[in-house]
Amino acid sequence: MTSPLLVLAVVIPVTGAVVIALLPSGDDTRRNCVAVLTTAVTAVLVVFLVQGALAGSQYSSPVLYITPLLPLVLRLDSLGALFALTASCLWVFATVYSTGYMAHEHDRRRYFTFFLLSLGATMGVAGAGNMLTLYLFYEMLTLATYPLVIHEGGEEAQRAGRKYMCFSLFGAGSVLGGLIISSAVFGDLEFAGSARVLDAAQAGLLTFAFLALFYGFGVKAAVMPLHPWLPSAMVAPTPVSALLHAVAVVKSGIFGIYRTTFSFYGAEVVSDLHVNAFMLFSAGVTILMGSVFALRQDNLKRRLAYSTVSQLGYIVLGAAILNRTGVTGGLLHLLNHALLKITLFFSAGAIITVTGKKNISEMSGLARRMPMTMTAFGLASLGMVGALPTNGFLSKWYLIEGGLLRDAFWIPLLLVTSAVLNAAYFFPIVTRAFFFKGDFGRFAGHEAPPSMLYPILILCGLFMLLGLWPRPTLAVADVVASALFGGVR
Amino acid sequence: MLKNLPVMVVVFLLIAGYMMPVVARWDRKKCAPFAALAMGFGVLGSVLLMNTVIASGQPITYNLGGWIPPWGIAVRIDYAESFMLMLLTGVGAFILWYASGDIGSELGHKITGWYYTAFLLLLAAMLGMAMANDLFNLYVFMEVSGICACALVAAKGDREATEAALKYLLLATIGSGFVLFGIGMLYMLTGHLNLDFVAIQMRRVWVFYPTVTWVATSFFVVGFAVKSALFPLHIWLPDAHSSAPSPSSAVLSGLVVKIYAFALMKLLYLVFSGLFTESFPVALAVRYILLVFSAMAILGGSLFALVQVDVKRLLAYSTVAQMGYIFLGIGLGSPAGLAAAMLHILNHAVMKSCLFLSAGSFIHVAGVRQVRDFTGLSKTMPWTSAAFSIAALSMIGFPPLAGFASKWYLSEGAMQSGEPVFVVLMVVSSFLNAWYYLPLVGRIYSVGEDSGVKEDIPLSMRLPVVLLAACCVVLGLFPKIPLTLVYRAVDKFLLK
Repeated sequence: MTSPLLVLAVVIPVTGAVVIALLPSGDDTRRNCVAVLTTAVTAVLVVFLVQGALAGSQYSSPVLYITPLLPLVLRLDSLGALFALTASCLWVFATVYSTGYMAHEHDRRRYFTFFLLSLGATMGVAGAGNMLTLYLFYEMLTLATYPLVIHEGGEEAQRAGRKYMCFSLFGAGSVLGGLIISSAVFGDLEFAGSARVLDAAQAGLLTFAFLALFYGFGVKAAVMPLHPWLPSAMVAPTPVSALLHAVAVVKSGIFGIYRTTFSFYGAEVVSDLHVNAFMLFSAGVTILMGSVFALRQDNLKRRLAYSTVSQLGYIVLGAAILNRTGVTGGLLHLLNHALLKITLFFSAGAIITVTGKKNISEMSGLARRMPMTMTAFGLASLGMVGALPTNGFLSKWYLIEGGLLRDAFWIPLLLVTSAVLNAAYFFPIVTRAFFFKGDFGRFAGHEAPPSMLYPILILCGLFMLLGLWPRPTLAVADVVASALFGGVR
Repeated sequence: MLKNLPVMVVVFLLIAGYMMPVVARWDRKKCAPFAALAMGFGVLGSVLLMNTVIASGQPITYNLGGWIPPWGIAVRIDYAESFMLMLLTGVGAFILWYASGDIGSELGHKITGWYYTAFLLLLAAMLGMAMANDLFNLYVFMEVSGICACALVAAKGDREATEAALKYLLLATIGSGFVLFGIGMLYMLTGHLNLDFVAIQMRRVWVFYPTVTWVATSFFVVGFAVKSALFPLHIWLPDAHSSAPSPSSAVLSGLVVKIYAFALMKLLYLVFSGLFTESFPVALAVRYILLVFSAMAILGGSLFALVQVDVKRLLAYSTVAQMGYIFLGIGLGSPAGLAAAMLHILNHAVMKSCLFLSAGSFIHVAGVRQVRDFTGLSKTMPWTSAAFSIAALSMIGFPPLAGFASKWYLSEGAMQSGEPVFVVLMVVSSFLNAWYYLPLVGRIYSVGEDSGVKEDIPLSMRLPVVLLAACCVVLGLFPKIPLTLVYRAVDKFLLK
């Protein structure tokens, strides 16, 4: 049904950003209120919209025809709903956390302005009703997040920003090329994946276009070897790393890949093109190499970044498996990884705020000082490894099952190896913090301020809950997966 | 009056141009309003003409002195021509608006009047070129516009500008020479100068004189390529466009180079149309040459722009690259390709004028031309900085700005002609554009250092720049407004 509500999901954050830009730069109280309120309102709106989308009624905005060939439209289907829900809800936590984390940083007005603009762009990506709209918001997301990456302002931040921009533009250009070629072949840019049939004469062109799209979106999804911008971008303030580089930005890349594969091309066309060998190979390399690189990092945020690279590989793998079970696993992992990684990053940010320590080697005995934060960190690490009572387990299970269904016996092997590697780089941090002797006095000092600690604890509770009672997430992922494979729902 | 409107637009601007020194003698302050009045008349006339053409669906033909062709001189305004008239007067008006604030301080008050003369004559000549339906008048107006353009460059009077103007003059004359030879050969072949008659005759006679036809076509292509700075023949452009006063740079980069590309497009698709539909190798050769050289222009122009430290030279090299887009569209020859070429003539005119004028504002206020001195200008000049950034992002092709639409249609045209390799070229080119425009934008917005600039530019100069930037957004969101006109023009190009 046509409804302006969906447009509001983009407009509200942008309005909030404008309001913040107009507020005086010294007025922290009001700015924080506006920021939290805007994200909360957006999240509530999205929850409302998502209920409709999952129940099968699609909200869509009026179509704006740039030219007859190029329509812009927002339309929330179940895949978009999943992404919108994840991003908008986590944004609330990240904004609350930011108010605490940024209290001692400079240029807070600019920070929150672009933080909210990014939310608007992400909602646009999630709600995009065709590839052109998706591309438009995807580009806007790049522009809106750039000032956040270079927020520190030093030479290192500038370099990271340049790297981010270069990679992103390469990706965007590649996506644009792929879109143009496929639109010339298909004749439209709609999400008509389930209805498309491959014309054998165009197979060469489409293969090229699909790979351009895959690797184009793969830049943001940090598919190797297009990942180097992500570890560098860790110079950004921690909430940015947490939200954008674990949830919104990287997952908009993932989202683009899912959209291309299932909504735009259709699983059938993709499997007829025989391109998923490329996807499987890239995902496999990313999963392994990301973990191997993570092993060598001493800087906590960089280690988390490489872990993100590796985990994003799982989600890409879910798409590459090209069957319903695999996709369910990928989508579950999209959600689960978002929850786990944002907790990990928030904990890292809390550690930096309280102790100023950025390197793992300096964190011996840290748990005495920050027991709650480190407990959350430990539980999230377990989830990352995929230990049984946490939510990380289920997504891996589905991925393995999906792999076995297409007789790819290397996939279980790969995932088990990766789990071992995950354990190898996460558990030392936890053991060091809990059991090593260090210079952190027994229960001396305080944990991070409540605006930072509570988001960590709530998120930790949330992912533990979803680990013990995974039925809701599983149901959602299943609905989305069946919709992507042409089911009615 | 309305019947004579096509000629009146040109004549009025010509007369106004010649009046300017007199007005300046009387009262220097009256120059700007007078020029604005003439320009306003030009815009109004163009709007009326465009409306008439759209409403009637018929081209307006006007025979000077009532002499019918082939003996008399004819003026013909169709969709394509009215599109060009609108664009020339519209963008010209914005540039003139800015110039009225800038010229006095940049050039000294002595030559203000003469500057307006050159400016208005140039516009009149370009309008004349757009609507002329015979080769002789096309040539005459071409020469007038060439000389006026040189005058606009030389107006600054310093060594650099004079040298650049001389270089421009020499190469433009060579270009005109080529075109003149081409015209001579066409006249020899067909016995006509009127474009309609030449077109009809060409279809009959080229079979008997294939070599002469070939040579004439080559002369036209080379001549117009020199004048509109197609890549290896562009060497005059960076000097001329960077050493000229800012409004001159805007008008040269935004309008003057385009009109020659438009003239070539008109000749190739209206006059030589017979050759293009039949299997005469010249048609293929011309297309092939245009495609190769435009690809070189797109890459080469951008690569040269990358290494520039002077902002106006950077913008000038970017023009070289963007002219490549237009020639690429002409060379592709598919409906979407031609439409993209015409659309980009408009979009680039708007974007590049905006860029040159905003860069001019920075130069005007801060007195710096080097890219590295632009640091932190956004603090004191927020509006101009925003305008510059929007135009720059549009150049790169960020959606939903004007540049994106032209890029999309150009790629669409490449796909229609079965040349997907040019889609890749477009992508590479966007990347190169981003490479030299984004650091500039970043520099303007960097917060680290103080730029030392205390005052913003006066509102009267800020407004045209901001409005041009707004046009970039509007053209990006609603390219269907120009495209309806453009597609009708393209239909005529491809059907005749």
